[in-house]
Amino acid sequence: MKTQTLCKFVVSMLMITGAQAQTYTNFIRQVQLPSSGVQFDVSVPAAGQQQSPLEINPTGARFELHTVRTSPLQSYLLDTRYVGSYVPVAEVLITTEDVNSNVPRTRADRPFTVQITTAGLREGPSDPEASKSVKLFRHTQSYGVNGDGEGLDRTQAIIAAQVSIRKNGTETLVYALNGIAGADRSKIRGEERFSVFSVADYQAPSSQLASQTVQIWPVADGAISGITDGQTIEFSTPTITLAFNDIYPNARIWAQVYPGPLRDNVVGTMVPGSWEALNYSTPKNRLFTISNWDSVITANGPWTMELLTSTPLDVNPIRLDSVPFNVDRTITFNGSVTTSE
Amino acid sequence: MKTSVLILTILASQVYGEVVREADVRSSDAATNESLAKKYRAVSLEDPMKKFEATKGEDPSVVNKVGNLLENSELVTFNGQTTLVPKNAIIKIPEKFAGRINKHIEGAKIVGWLDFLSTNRGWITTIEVTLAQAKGEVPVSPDLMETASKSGNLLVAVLQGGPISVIPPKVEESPATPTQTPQVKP
Repeated sequence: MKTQTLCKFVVSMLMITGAQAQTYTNFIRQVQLPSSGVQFDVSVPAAGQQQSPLEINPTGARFELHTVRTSPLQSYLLDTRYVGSYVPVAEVLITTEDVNSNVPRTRADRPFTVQITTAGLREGPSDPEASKSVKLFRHTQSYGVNGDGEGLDRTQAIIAAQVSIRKNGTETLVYALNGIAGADRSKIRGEERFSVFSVADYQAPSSQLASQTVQIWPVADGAISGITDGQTIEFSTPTITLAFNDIYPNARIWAQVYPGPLRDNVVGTMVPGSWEALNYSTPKNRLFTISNWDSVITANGPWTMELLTSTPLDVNPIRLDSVPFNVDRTITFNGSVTTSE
Repeated sequence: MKTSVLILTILASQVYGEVVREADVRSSDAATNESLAKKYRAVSLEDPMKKFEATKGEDPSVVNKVGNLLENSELVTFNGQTTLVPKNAIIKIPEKFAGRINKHIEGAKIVGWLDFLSTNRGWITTIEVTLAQAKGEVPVSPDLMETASKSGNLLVAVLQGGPISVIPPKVEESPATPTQTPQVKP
């Protein structure tokens, strides 16, 4: 008698909740393997769990998690898992310093960690070959100049490494930097995908057991213009332009001034009209033109203006640009007073 | 009285702007390409995956690419809502409902099967099948099919409430053998 195994699966769709959650609907498809053409729709809410009424033995089944955008109509494959009676189980967990995102992400200069957990691997001489090992893949793919990953053809990703895992347990891989190709290492934007696949056998082709992707966003840069190094301000402050490029998701940006030369660890005074908190999932650019910032200049002497950003990745703000300038508002009045009878 | 010289010193405004950071924060310069390129060269030699046995082979994510959901589905649209069911899950489409199948109207809200069915039971009838019937190993009961067909409704195959594709059983080579396959939509 055929053993009936029910597959319990969990759907976690936090990544598509939020501002646009109402425009996406999730679908889970169970595809019986080897491919017989039978597909089963498992209706699920945005988050939750339920048992599949379809057996997965003896040949296994692939579970596909899709989401469909209402307008324009478009479907996206979010995850797939192959489940079978002797097929090992795997988990991939990527962690970064950015804890504000449901999708793992970090910056081109920051590290990330990949945790691979495997269970159910067998060693017996009579065990099926597909039960003795799994394959771990590392794919890298650039989004291109100013790309954000929308509509990315992931079949074009590059295999950076592929290895075989034969032991159960958890392995932790620490990456000090991403491995995505790019001439300017500070401007990398793309993704790395770590996925575990089963070994192909007569029942099913090599199928995904677990996968997770980490997004890599570029290091921000900025420029202050309208005031030059060492410029002396005698009267009203000049109109300045503050350019922020590749601002990291959920970062804050602003400009500050303080008396004295450039130095670290200084809390200055914010230039009015220069502050913004960005609530986006991809990098953005901002350009501010500020003409009236006299109020923050409180004394004569040398001053410094800094362009700063604060991100979830950094304990302290990051300086994007700075300009030293002088203030000399001493008005010398030469005159005489005479009296006459 | 002799003329005297007056020197006036005017200081700028004393108004302070908003302080936006805590007192103990520190700022540092953003990483540059030069510094990262140097670090990248060093860490590239320390691949964490070297601890495993390297393998070769084709990319299964490309070779065994999972199909597009929309291409593997039938779209059922009515009254501002659209749902998706697996291909071959619709086993009969009455002529009067043909305009509701695979005629998605842009802007129609995509909903799950159960939500759609709950508001469209008047014209959709579900037929519960087994996995063996879905695989085409066993034909769907002709009596059940006949009874369901009399309703004039759209017929959708389900397994414990979930839409499932139904593969027609292999037709016997003998032309005299009557087929008991469910009528698949035209």
